[in-house]
Amino acid sequence: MLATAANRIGGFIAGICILATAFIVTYEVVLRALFDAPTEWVNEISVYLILISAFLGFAPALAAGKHINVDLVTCKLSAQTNKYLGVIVSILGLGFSLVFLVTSTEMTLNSYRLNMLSTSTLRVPLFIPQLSLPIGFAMLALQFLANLLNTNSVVLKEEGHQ
Amino acid sequence: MITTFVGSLVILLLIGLPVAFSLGITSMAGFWLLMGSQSLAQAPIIAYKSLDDFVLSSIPLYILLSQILLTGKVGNDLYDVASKWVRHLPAGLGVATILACAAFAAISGSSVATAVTIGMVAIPEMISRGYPKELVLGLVAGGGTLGILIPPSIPMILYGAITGESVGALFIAGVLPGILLTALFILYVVFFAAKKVPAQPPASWDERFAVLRHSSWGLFLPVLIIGGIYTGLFTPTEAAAVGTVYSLFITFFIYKTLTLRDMPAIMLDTTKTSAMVLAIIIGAMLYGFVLTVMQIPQQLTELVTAMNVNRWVVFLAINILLLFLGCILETVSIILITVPILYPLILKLGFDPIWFAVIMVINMELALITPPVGMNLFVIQGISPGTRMTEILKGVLPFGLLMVLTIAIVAWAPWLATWLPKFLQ
Repeated sequence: MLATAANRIGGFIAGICILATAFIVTYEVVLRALFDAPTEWVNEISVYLILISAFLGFAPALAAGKHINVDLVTCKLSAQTNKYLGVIVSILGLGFSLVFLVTSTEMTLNSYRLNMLSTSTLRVPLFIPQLSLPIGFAMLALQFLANLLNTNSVVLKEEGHQ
Repeated sequence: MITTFVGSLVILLLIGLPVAFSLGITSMAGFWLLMGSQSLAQAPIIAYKSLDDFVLSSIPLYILLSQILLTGKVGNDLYDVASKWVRHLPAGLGVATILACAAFAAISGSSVATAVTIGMVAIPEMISRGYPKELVLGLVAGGGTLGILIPPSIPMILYGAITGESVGALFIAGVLPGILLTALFILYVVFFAAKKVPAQPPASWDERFAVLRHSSWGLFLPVLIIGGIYTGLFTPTEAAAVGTVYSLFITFFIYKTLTLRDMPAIMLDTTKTSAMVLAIIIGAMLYGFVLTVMQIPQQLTELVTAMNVNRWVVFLAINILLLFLGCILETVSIILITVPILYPLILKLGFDPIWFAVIMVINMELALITPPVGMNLFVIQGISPGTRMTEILKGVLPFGLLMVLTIAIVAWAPWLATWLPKFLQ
């Protein structure tokens, strides 16, 4: 439930970021081509928008089963074995997301405390785009947890039937 | 050490952990074992830096562009024009399918998008006109692969981002080989498939010009994108943005095939697909970092040079490796995992890096149609219900062989890849 809501909001923001990038980059091209007046902010901001869209998009992609995996072996195994593998996969993914959640939170806090700015003329505080990492990995951890609980309940139910 | 590192990646992949996370987890273990637990703090910094690149920003934009064209049915127009103009030729609808794929390839950077967009209109049309099913499926699965060779091309963007080669030059390098492969596909269809298919009556000239006028807005899109990049009006990344805004304009206001209500689904699909690709990029960058710490690329280069074999033997070995990987992995992962290792080797052996990118991309076209993991095979099966995989495989085999032939031709005549980028510089 929580994971679904988070994915909906995160996915929406990520989509807006990509669409916004298309418009601001076009704006830059038009200004440069017609008025010979390139902007200083478009390239940098579009990189931030794409960064944000990526990290916020990880969990929605996982929920939709969009992350590509190799099913060479898994498609030949029994449903029961696949459920156990699913549990292992979710636990590994959860661990991975949690490590990244902790380390990226530290990174973002450091940038905030030391007031680190981008090296461009814009001087954007780096913690703003970096904030998408802890948020994205928290969403990812939630989604792996949701997957884990789902497979678990399926496995338990089946065993109960037998 | 290296065996453990690569072996654990393979195990994680085989138990079904998504590619991006398999790469990420193996790398984290590598960080820990090689540099201690403190080094894990480096991981998010590398993850952030791997996407901190304006060149890579183009990938979500090209995905968004393809999604808009697919939902807005711009592919139907391209196919309609091609079919009215060439359908009276031997196997004319097949030729039209190849031409429509090539035209869409000049807008889209993805082969899957090309195969889906053209396939949705071409498959039912050809089946209803009595074309044999295997040929139809093979045409679309094979023709669709042109998407990544004819610029723009997402694999070329990735190659450029990893190696630092100019994405503009890489794009241009794909033009002549792309035209060659398109021509080979057409020749095959005209000479070998024509006897199996019923002939079509020619369209009247009035009809031909009417369809051209009606579709001129969509037909202008490849001119805008490729023309804009080659004249230096905008960069490959900017081309994706301009193409997106232009296609939103024509689908909303000219063709009226899209409304605001379609946008949430388009944006959500784009987000998921692009997050999937960008996650693999991050995973591969982490993995590449560990490989570099372990000095794998240097060791491999030294090992191969010490073996002192003819460089074309190495070239052949690389192609066989890519063919093998192409059977079990999809293209983004293959490029991101192998290029950091192969690029120094290629340079050391004195091969041209731009030329090698073209060889690599044709190999990736093969990867898209080689089972068990061939993305184009899956999407073609997805859009033609009740189709068995063996039917698609039989149909696509000749197109795969023509790709192998093209690799051989480009290897034998490297100027096909290198002349145009040098000429235009």
